[in-house]
Amino acid sequence: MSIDWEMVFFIIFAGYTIGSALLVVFAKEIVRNVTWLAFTFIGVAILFIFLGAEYIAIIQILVYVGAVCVLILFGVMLTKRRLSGGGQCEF
Amino acid sequence: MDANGLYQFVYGIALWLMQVIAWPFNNLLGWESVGGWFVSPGVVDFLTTLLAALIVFFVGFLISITFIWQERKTLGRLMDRRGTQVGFLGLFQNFADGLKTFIKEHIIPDEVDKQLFNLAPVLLIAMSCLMMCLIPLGPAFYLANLPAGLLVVFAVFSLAPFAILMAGWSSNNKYTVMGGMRAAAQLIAYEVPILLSVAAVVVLAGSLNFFDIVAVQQDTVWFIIPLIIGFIVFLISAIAEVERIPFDLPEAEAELVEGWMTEYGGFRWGLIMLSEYVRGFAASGLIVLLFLGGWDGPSFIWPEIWTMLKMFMVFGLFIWIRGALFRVTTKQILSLGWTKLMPLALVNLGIAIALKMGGWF
Repeated sequence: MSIDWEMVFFIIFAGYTIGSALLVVFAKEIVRNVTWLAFTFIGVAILFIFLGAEYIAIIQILVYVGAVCVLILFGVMLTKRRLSGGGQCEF
Repeated sequence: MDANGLYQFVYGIALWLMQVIAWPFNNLLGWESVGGWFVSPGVVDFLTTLLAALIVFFVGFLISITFIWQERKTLGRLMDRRGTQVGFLGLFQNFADGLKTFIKEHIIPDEVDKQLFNLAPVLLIAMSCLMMCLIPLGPAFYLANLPAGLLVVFAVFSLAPFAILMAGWSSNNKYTVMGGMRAAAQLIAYEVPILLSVAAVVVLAGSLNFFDIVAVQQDTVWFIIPLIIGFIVFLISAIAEVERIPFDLPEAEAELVEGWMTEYGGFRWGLIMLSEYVRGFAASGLIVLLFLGGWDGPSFIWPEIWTMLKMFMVFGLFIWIRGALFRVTTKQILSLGWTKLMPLALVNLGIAIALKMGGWF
């Protein structure tokens, strides 16, 4: 029996993308949501490579994953949160 | 992966190794199928890839370690002291320090976000090592020859602020979050002039592949001569991107303890430190490949040696700047990036387009 390895890896990475996309929605802490969003974008870039579009995959990482840290900045700056086990955290 | 240069060389070694392993199966035990599996192309290819990656990693790692040695020695001389002393010319000091970080206790503070805290240094070192295998040191010494290699290197470069912010936020400490914020602001701001000055090189060379860019420079002239403005913009932005001293705001030790890596200790700190020097390796490698002709040079020594010599010279320039200048403030660094370097990079891009349209390249 021969295994279609491309199919196997496609299913692995597609599952990874869907799983991290679900975690974007269901994670509790805002920075964690954004972190999972970055992993989702990396997964999408890998799926682009499977489709033979390497250039779009590179641009996906360059533009979207690079922009994620701006989201983290806004997430940290515009939401109030308590330091775990401590007082109010102000920046 | 292309089948020449380093890959071809390592393939021979891997095939020989596999034949040695397969020999007892074929001749002593008589299990021809097992012996045949060992020398089948898939297995040998896999082993070759692993071995070639190991070689490229060790060469990059040794160059980065030597960068640290060069920095400590030169800074010592600039400050009128002797620098490292362990071993011949102090060369073994870094290995001793690496061993020290390796045997230290792994401390995870109680209140940190443990998963992200552990993930951040892994991401940083993984990105840095990915850059090692994308930057060719010579016409034969490379791991991956991608058609858009330059773009991939910058995609990997642009991931760093994400990992730094992750490290700073998950440490659950005011200083680390401030350091992470400064790092993100600075790294995103300097990505713009660095990409614009690289765009000028791409316009002149007409390709995103490192080998094509170096070939064009060998045919015509090193790009530092027509694009001297771009070279200066790239040099300043590269220093900001690898967070070295005139622009080391994210870890300003007088204000922020140790910046975004305050809470890291032991081997995690060692990995972060190493990744910083590997990024220095990548930055000086990019400067050499894009502006200083790569492995172009008189052919009495190997082209790889030329690349490395130029890289050490560029890193020596970084060290000199570090020894001579003092840290700027956040306002100065951002206004320098947006109001000085970006217009200069655009002027440089205009010069490149004029040269291309005038038919000189």
